[in-house]
Amino acid sequence: MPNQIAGIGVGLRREYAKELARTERQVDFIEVMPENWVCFGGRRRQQLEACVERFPSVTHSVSLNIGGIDPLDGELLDATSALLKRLEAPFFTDHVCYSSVRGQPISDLLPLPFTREVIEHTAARIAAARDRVGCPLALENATFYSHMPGAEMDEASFLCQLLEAGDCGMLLDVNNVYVNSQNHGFDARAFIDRMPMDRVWQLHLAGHTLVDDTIIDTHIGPIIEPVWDLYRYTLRRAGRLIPTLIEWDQDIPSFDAVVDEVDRARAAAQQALGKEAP
Amino acid sequence: MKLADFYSRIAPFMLGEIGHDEVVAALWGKDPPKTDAARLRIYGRFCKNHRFETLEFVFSECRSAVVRHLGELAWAEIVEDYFTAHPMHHFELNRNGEHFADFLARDPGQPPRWPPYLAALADLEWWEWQAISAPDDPGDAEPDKGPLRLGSTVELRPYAFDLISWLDDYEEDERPEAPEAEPIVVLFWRDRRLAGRRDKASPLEMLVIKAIVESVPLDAELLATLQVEPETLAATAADLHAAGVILGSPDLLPAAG
Repeated sequence: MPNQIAGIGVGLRREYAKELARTERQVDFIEVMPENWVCFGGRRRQQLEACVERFPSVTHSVSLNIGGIDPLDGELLDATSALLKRLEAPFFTDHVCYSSVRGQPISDLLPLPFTREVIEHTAARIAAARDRVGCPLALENATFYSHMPGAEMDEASFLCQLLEAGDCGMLLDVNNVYVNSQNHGFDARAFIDRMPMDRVWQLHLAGHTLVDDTIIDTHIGPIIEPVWDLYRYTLRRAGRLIPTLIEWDQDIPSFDAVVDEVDRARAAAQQALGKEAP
Repeated sequence: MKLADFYSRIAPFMLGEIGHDEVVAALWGKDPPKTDAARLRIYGRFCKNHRFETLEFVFSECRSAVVRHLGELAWAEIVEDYFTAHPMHHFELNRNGEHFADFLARDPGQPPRWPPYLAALADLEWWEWQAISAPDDPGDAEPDKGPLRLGSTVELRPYAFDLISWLDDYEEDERPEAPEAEPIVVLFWRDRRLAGRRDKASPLEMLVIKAIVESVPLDAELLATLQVEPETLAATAADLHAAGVILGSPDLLPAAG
């Protein structure tokens, strides 16, 4: 029986893994990036074991390349599958993007054209990935800085149709919605209104960075008030506390500063839902 | 634009093969949307950064040496040339640096574009990383039980330069321009606290390790062959055992007297 996740969690990062494993502060679950952990032994493996032994866990990869045209990476899928079994995780997640071209992983989340062809192509790969891993898949709405040519619909329609066609869950990154809304000039709340909340299994929150005229999804915190506001709005729309994860991936401060964001998320959830968050 | 066509146009940019102007023309023609076209640069920069990060995490001393003596541009050319010769292939980014030492050893150019010790330094950094990161081996789980054996991460590598003294005896900004051209053998291993370690291997340490590999008992016959005192052999074997290079029951280690 998989361990369900609930409440507010943090991503497992090498920078604070030791402190996370022994913290007395409340962290409800963790997210493990397979690329950063599955190939390693030694101290890194020891840190992973200490954390997953203690916290309910899910995986969150960046290399699935679900929208790409290279074959799916069997080694990554099998490694993810093995990790998911070890974690007894309820699902695995990656991003709506491509991350490999001509057989070369490029370790970034690159934007897809919003077309029906991409939806059909990606939906088939969702099914293939899910079958090989043997676990449900949820995909995250990624930030994108450029619209790719040939778009036949907007991002919200593309996501809704893709999730439906792929029959998969959604990891709704609230910060990404905010970043995209600012970079592309749309109403973030209206975007949230269009998301299929019954498919949303997890939320992400993070900081970001303004560079020239563009907000970059750097995962450098702290989370700004408009994102907290959008988070509260999202929870009210959902009518439930969707498991929420704090991402802080660059310029990582003290572990306590990261968990302060967890506490803020818990308080925001309580404000939004009017009841004690777990 | 069909999906396959889209990828054929954008891939060369993401891989650093063509510039921004070319990819904009390939994707949008003569009248590109201004903001979308301009922001495509962000992705080119990200992808380039990832190539650099991939090498700079494991090969930080190589980068430092090249930048200090040849400049940032020289390092940038080495990184891009390496990935042209050895494209990224693995989702664990560091794994993509596995051919870096070979690349530096085979193609210095004429005149040489990097110092003669750089390939050796890259090899040393790679094996140091292997000692830190290699997957756990079940055979290492009970280091004080079973027959004498080597830890799974133990590796001996010969170098034509004394890289260890050069790296460890000086602060980075006080280091001589190049290491001494003095042959050494470096022992890499993961210690009992799971830390990656490396050090110069002494001739006796190498002989003890050879004996373990060949299942030669560490006994009087070996002492006669090595022509060392029992105390010396016992101390060396005990040190290697305590460090985690040799695993197995301590009862099987040679006695001092």
